[in-house]
Amino acid sequence: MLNQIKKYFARRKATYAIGNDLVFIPEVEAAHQQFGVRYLNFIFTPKEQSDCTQVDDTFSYSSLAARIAVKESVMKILKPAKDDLLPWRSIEILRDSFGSASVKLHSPANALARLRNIDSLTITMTHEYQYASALVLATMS
Amino acid sequence: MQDKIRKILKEHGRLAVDAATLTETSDLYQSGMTSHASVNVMLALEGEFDVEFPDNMLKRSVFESIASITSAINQLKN
Repeated sequence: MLNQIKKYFARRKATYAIGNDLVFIPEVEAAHQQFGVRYLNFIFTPKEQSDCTQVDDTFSYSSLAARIAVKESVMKILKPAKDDLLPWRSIEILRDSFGSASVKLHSPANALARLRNIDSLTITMTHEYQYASALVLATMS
Repeated sequence: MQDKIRKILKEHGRLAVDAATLTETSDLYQSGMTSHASVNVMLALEGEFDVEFPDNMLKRSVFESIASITSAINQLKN
């Protein structure tokens, strides 16, 4: 009973933060065309690049753009110090076998998340025509 | 060097203002440069000036103005 009461109040004390972002898909395609693998490797992990590769071996720019939108949204929640630029690859978007997307934080983003008391990050991403967007919900204790 | 930097900012910075009107110390982020645009600016600078920004220079302050970019490139070239 006491544990249930503790859990109830723990839930009530949880706070939330949201981040969102919108990315122009042709900008991502243009950057890849101009800067090639340097661009991809600066922003995306190998797994993300693999997840965004289509059956004909070309990249899905809408998928890449959606992941950028998630990363930017997470950065808005993590709020790095004024002079810090979080490494893009420290925020990794994963897809499970059912197609659900989730975020995995690596150093130093994971340390910043701990500092902000973030327990979980829930993401949605979508794209339509020339834009990709993302919404991220953070639960903090 | 600054003309080349302005050209790169015009092409890749996605600024809300004309890069030609920026002063040396104008804040590029306040002028509309997003985090994603700053990546493109950085990669274009590396190509144009044949330098590579090390991890310890990947800071907002390095890319926040024409003056700070100029200073960083000079530092990398020397």
